[in-house]
Amino acid sequence: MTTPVPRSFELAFEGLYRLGYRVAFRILGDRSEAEDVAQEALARAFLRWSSLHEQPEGWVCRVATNLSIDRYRRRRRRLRTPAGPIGVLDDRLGERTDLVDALRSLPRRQREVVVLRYLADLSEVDVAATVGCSVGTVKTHASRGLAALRRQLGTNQKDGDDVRAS
Amino acid sequence: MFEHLDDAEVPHAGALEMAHVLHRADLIRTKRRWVLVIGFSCALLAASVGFFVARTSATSPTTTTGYEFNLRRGTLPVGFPVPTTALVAVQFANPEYGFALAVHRGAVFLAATTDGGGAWEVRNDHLPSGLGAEAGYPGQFEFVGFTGYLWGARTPSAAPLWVTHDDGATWHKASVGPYVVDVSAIGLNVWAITDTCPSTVTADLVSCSAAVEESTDGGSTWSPLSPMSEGGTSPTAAPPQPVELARITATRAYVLRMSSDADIPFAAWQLAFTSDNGATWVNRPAPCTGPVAAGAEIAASSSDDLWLLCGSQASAGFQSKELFRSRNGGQSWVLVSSAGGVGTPAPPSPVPNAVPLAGYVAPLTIGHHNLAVASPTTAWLYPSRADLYLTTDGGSTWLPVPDLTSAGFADGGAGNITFLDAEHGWICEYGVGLWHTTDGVHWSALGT
Repeated sequence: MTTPVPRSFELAFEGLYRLGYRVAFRILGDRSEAEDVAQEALARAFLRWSSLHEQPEGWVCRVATNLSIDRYRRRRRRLRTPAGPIGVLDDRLGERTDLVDALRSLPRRQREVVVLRYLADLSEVDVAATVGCSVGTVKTHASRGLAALRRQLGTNQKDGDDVRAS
Repeated sequence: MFEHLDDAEVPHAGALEMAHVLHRADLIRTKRRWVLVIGFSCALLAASVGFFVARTSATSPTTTTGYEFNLRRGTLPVGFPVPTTALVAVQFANPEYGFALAVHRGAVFLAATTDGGGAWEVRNDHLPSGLGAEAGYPGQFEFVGFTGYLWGARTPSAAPLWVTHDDGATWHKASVGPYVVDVSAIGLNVWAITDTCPSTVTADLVSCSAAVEESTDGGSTWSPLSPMSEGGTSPTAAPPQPVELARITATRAYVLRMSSDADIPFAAWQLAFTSDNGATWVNRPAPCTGPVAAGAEIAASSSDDLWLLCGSQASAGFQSKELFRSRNGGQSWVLVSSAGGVGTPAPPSPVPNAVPLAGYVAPLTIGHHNLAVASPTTAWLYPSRADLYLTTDGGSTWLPVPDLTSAGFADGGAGNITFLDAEHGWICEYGVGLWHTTDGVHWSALGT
């Protein structure tokens, strides 16, 4: 039995799907896994669409980020297991590992803002609307979160620059 | 700023992806429903099991454990099963029918059995106030058929003696007292030792006076017998008096009581004897004197064969004891066994299997039901906080009963021992259990 799809979900689907995929791929670096995460996040959003449809982007980003980090940790455990498969060849693997570790070390609010602002590429206004705070607060959290990320990733670049460690 | 981590190929988000998302949403919804159904079913199953277990335990006396019994709060309903570990003192009218005082959450109630002690159930959890839980010391009781007597109140406001004529279901005050320290019934003929002081082991110097009162109608009406003191000069100044009444027949009885004499450092015991239904009393010597005058118990196998066990001050579970026998109704006594070392000199060389040093005799016991004499040669001794001992040579030597230990009996407890005859006996140890013998030799555990 399939529930009728609300028109607003249909209209928002493509953008949310791409958003969820982008966040997941930046963390996981694997196309099929990122698609799986995006579908899971969209399915969960669909089940609670009545309460989400006004600001769904932030919620989808959060779910996609959490799912991705969980999958990344599971994958890392598998890779550490000698008998496990080592089939993933990703030249950004070290950077993604550092990124996941750095994100996990952030306080909840900073992590939320950093993910929405820099992983999902939402504007500061959209992040403020999603998180439910002022733009100034978003800037503060983004600045502090970014500084923490830099410390974690071992870079000294200025705000807005690339934080690549490698 | 993380564009370098992006996928170069942007994925398609069309109808196929929408279908996958909707299918996955259905799976999530179905999974959530199953979790709910399974959770609800488990809760329902657990509730059903709990309900039926509780119901079963409330209707079957043999399935209640001490744990379930102790969990139960509030008043216990009549018929509620009682574990043998809750019994404090037992008494049997015949090999099947018995009563017990038992404890539940610090309060004393009456329990009964109809199968010789295997299964017990609540008979009355509304015993009269002032009896039972005060000072952690339960009252004492005696049953003859359906008529029972309950005494031992330690508060002046409580009635000293209560009587039941319906198996313990209802109790009525008896107009006797002001304190009742012992009762003995033979049929409907009941004697009560009354005192102006409560029976207690403390020795506050107050004026006390003991007397004997008799009822010939099962405790409904009472009248005093002749005074026990020679010349009828009671009351006399004395400390509180532990008193034991031993009725051999309806007309012959002994009253063992403690008195004091300002000229000697120790209390002394007196034995009053009557052979004419209390019309006249004769004082006879009681050999519990000096250091072994702190406690005493008397028992008899016949009208003239008396056993008197004397005890010293108690210390750490031990008490010096002297066992005397009289074959002429207390006119003369012979020391048959002794154990020294607590308040008395230790014997130069230990006597093998003498009366045990371990454990206490009355009044440091629950009532004075620790010595059971079956015949002139056979007797059982259960000193409080010690093992059960048996003598088969008239009290000269005593040995622990090995069957009891292997049946779970643990020395160190408190309770009572009671015999119907030389073969049928029960020993109750509060908190541990109940055991019985049907041949006077072998013991086995009863109930749960």
